[in-house]
Amino acid sequence: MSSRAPWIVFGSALAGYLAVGITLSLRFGFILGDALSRTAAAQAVLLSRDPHVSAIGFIFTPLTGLAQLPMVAFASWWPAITRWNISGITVSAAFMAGAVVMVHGICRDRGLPGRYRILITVVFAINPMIVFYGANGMSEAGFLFLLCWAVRRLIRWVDTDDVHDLLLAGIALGLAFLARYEGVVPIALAAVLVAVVTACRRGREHWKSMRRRAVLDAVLISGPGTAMFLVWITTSWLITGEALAQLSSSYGNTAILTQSGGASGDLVQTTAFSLGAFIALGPTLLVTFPLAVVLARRRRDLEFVVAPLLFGGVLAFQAGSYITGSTFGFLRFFICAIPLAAVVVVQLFPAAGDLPTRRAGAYRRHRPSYPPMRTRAAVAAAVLCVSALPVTAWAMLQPALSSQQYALGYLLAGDPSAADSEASTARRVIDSFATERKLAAYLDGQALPDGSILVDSVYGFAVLAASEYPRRFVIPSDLDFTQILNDPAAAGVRYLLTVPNEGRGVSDAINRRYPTIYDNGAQLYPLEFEVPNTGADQPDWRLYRVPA
Amino acid sequence: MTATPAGRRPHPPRVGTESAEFRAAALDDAINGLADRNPLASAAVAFVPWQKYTAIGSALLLLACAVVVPVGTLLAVTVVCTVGYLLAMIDRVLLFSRGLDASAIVTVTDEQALSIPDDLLPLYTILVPAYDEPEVVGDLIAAMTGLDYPPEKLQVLLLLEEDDEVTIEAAAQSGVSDLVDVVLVPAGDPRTKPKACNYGLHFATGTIVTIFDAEDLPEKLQLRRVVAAFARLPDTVACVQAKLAFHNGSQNLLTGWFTADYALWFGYLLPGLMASTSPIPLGGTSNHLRRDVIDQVGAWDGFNVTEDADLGVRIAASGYSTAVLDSTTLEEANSDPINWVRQRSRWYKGYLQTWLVHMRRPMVTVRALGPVGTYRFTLLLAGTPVTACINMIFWFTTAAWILGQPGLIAQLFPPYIYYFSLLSLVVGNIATVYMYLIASRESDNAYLLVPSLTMPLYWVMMGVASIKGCWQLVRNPSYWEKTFHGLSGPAVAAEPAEDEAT
Repeated sequence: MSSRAPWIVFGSALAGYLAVGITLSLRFGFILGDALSRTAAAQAVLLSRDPHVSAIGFIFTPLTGLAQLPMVAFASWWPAITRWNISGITVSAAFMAGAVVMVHGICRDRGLPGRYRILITVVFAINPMIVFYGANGMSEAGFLFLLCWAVRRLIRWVDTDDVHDLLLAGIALGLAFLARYEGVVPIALAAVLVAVVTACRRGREHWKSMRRRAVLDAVLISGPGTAMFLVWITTSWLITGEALAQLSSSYGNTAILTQSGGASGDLVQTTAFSLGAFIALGPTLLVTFPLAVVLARRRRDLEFVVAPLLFGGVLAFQAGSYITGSTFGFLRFFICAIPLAAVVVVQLFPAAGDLPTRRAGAYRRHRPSYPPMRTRAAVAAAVLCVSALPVTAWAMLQPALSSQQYALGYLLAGDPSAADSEASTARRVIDSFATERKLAAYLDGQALPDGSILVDSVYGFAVLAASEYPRRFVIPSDLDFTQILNDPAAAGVRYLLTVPNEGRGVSDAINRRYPTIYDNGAQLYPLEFEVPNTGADQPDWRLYRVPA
Repeated sequence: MTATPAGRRPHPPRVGTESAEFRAAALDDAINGLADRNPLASAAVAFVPWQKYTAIGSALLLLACAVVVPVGTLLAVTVVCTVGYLLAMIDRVLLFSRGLDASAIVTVTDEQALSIPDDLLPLYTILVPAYDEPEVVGDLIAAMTGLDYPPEKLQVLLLLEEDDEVTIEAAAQSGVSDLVDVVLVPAGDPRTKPKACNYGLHFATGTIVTIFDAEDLPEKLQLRRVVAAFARLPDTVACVQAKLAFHNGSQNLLTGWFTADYALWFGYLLPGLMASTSPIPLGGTSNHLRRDVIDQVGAWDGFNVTEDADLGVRIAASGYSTAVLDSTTLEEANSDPINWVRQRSRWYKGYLQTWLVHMRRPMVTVRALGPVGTYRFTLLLAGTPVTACINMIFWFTTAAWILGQPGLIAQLFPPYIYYFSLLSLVVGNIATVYMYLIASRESDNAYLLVPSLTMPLYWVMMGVASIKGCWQLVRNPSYWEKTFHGLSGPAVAAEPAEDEAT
C-alpha cells in the first residue's frame, strides 16, 4: 500500500463533496441555517465593524467557524464566499474527506484485503447522509472526522500501547469537543476505556500494580479535551458571563427549545424516533453488531470495544437528551451510526499482521493470527454493507424522520401545485434564505455608511452573510452594541431590521429592548417596508427607519 | 596499560609514578590549556569587548527609548518577547515530536552489547571527580563493580583534590585502590570539576573516556552499549551521551519535578536534537567521548560553569556530533529548594557563558553549526535562561491584568500581538505540561502525575534561579555555586561538594 493512497482517497472525496455542496448552494440555493450562521460568525470575526475573535460566538463550539476564517478573509473581495456559504462547504467537505481517510485507515490497520478496504470506504463515502453533511457546511463533518480519527488511533493503541496513538486520540477528542458539544461524552468514555485497558495490561489480577499508569493514561487521553473544555468555558464566562451559553444563554438550545414550543412528543414517540433514526442510518448494525460481538469474544479482540463505546456513547447521549426533552429530534444527531456501522463491518474480518508503530509501548500486544475470512462470508458482509445505502436514502426523504433533509427529494421537482402541502413546504425549505439574500441586495444597493443598520444576528445572520458590506451592520458581538441599541439615532443608525417578537424572535436583542418594535416601531420609528419571507421557518422582516 | 592511545600524546604515566614536572605541566594545562590554545574558546572572560559594548549600548539605547517613548518601547519589547516565546515553543514541540520516535535514540539490545568479544573491546577510562564527599566512595566501588566490562580494559580514575584529606582517607580505607586509581589533583584554584577532569585526562589510557559522579549508578551494560554504538555510528560521532535519571523522584515534590524534567530532557529533547543534527549540550555525567576527538577539539573549559554543555557545542562546531544512547545512569535529585536554586542558577549562568563564548565570532559559528543549528543553539542556551527570567515578568503582568485590568497592559497587547500572546500562554503551558506527562509515562514513572501537573510551580523556581544566574553572569561570571548532596536519605548528613552532576 503506497503512502499516496490516503491522499488519493482524500482528494477524490473532497472533490466529490465540494461539487455536491457547490451545486446544492449555487444551483438550488439550498443552505442550512446552522451552517450559514457559523459562516456569519466567522465573517463577524474578520469583516464586521468591530472585528475580534470572540465574535465567533459561544453558542456553538468554535471549530467549524474558526476553520472558515482563512477563506472568509477573502469575502470582502468575493462576497459569494459567505453569501453561498462556499467557505462552510469547503470546510465540511475537507473534514468529511478526512473522515473517509480515517475509515480507510481503519480498514488498512485491520489488514483488510484491498478490495474490501476500497468497498467499505466507498460505501461510507457515498452514504447519502455523509455526502449531504460533507456538502452542506454543518459541524457534523468536523465532528465525524475527529471522532473517526480518535477511534482509529484508540483501536491502534489497544495493540501498540504507543503513546503517539494515545496522544493523537486525545487531541482528536479535544478538537471534537470544539466541533460539537457532545464531544465531552467520548472524552469521558475514552478515559474510562483507557484506564481499564491499561490496568489490565498485565492481567486482571495485577491491576493494583498498574493503577498509577492507568490513571496517567486516562489523564493523557482526556487531558487535551479537558484543557480545551476548561479554556472554552473560561473564555465564554469571561466574555459573556455564561460558562455554558448553549445551556444558559437566551440564544442557546434550551431557550430555543422553549421558544419553539417546548420539546416534542412523549416517551414512546421520542424513543421510537431515536430508534428509527439509528436504524435508518445504521441498518446493517442489526445484523453485524451481534455477529461482531460473538466474533470479538471468541477472538478475545479488545480492538472491537473502541468504536461501539465512542460512537455508541454519542448516540446514547443524543437519544437520552431527546427522550428527556432537552434537544431536538434531528436525524443528523444520529449520524455516528454510519461510521459505527462501517467499523463494525471492518471488525468482522480478523485482524491481520502487527501494526507498524513509531514507538511501541511497554505493553504492546501482538495480534494473534487467524485464518482470513472465508470468501463467501466476506462477500456477504460486503453486500450487507451496500444494502444500507438505499435504506438511508429512503429514510432521508421521509419528513417525519428527516425534517432537515427530506426537501432534497424535491430539488428537481417543478413548482408544486398549491394542493401538495408537503411539496410546497419542501420548496420553502430549499428557498430558505432567498428572502434574506434579496434583502441584503437591496440594503447593499443603498449608499449607506458603516454602522447604519441595527440587526440581531439570531435571524439576521443570513442577511449579514449575504451582504457585500457587513461593516454597515451593528450586531450584538460589537462591543458598543448595547450602547447603540439604547440610542440608535445618536450613533448614526439609519435602519432597524426587525423580526416578530415570537418564537425565536423573542431572543432578538431589539425585541428585548423595544418589545413592540416589530408591531409599531415602538411608536418611535416609521416603517420603511415589510418583506414577507418565502423561506420555511424564517420570519417576515420589517425595516424601520431611524429619523436623523 | 596495554596499548598506546591514538595521536601524538606521550604515553601517560602510571598513576602515582608521575614526576613533579609532569604534575606541574598537567596542572597548568588543566587550567589554562584551552585558553592558551584557543583564547576565544574559553570563558575565562565572560564578555569579550565587543560583546560588552554591544550589551551596554543596547541597554542604554533601550533605556533612552523607554524614557522618550515609554509605551512604544514596552510594546516593542512585548512583541519581541512574544515572537521569541512562540519560536521557542514551536521548536520545543518539534524537537519533542522528533525525539518521541523510537528510532531517534540509539538503542543497543542486551544481546548486541554482550555479543562483543572481550578482546575486541577498547580501553576505557572512567573519570570520577569528587571533592569532600567521603561518604560516597563506597557507592563508587559498588557502581564500578557492577559494570560489565573486562577489568583489564577498564581504568577508573578517582580524581581527588590533594588537600581533601577526608575523602582521600575514606578512599584508602574502603580499598578502592584495587579497582580504582586515585589521582591527587594538585591543590589550587579553581577547584572545579573541569579542572580535575582535564588533569585526570593526562593519566587516561582509554580510547573512550567518560565521566561519572561518585554516587552515580550507571546501568550495567552501558559501556558495552557505548562501544557497540560507536561501532555502528558514523565516524563523525564524537560522543555518546547516556540518559540521566533520578532514583529519588518520589522523595518530595521537588525531586518529582526534577525527575520529570530530566525524563523529558534526556528521553526526548536530546534525542530530538540528535535527530535534527543540532548541537547537543552534554549532560554533566555519562557522556562517553572519543579520546582522539577530545585531543583535537580541546577538553573541558575550566572557567565555564557548565563545561559539559560547552564541550557539546564545541564538538558540534568542530564538525562532529553527539548521539544519545538508551541506557540510564541513576543519580540523586536535589531535594532541597535552596540548594536546587543554586545548582540551577549555575546551569543557567553556564548556558549563557557558553552561548557568549560561541557567539564571539558569530559568522564562524554560523558556518560551523549551520543557520538552523545556530538558531536552535541560541534558542536552547540563551533562550532557556532568558525565557525563565522574563516568564516572571509576564506572570506578574497576567496577574495584574486579572486583578485590575490596568490600561497600560491593554496598550501593550494590541490585537495583532494579543492573540499570539494568548496562544503562547495557553497552548504553550498546556503543551509543556502534556510533554512532561508523556515523558513520565514513557520513562515508566507513572507516579510523576502530580509533579507533572503542578509543573508551573517548578517554573517559578526556575525563574528565581534564572534571575540569580543572569545577575551573577554580570557580577561574578566564573563563581562556581556550590551544591550540596547526600540529602536523599534522612540519615545522611549534608556535605558540601564542589560540583554536582549536571
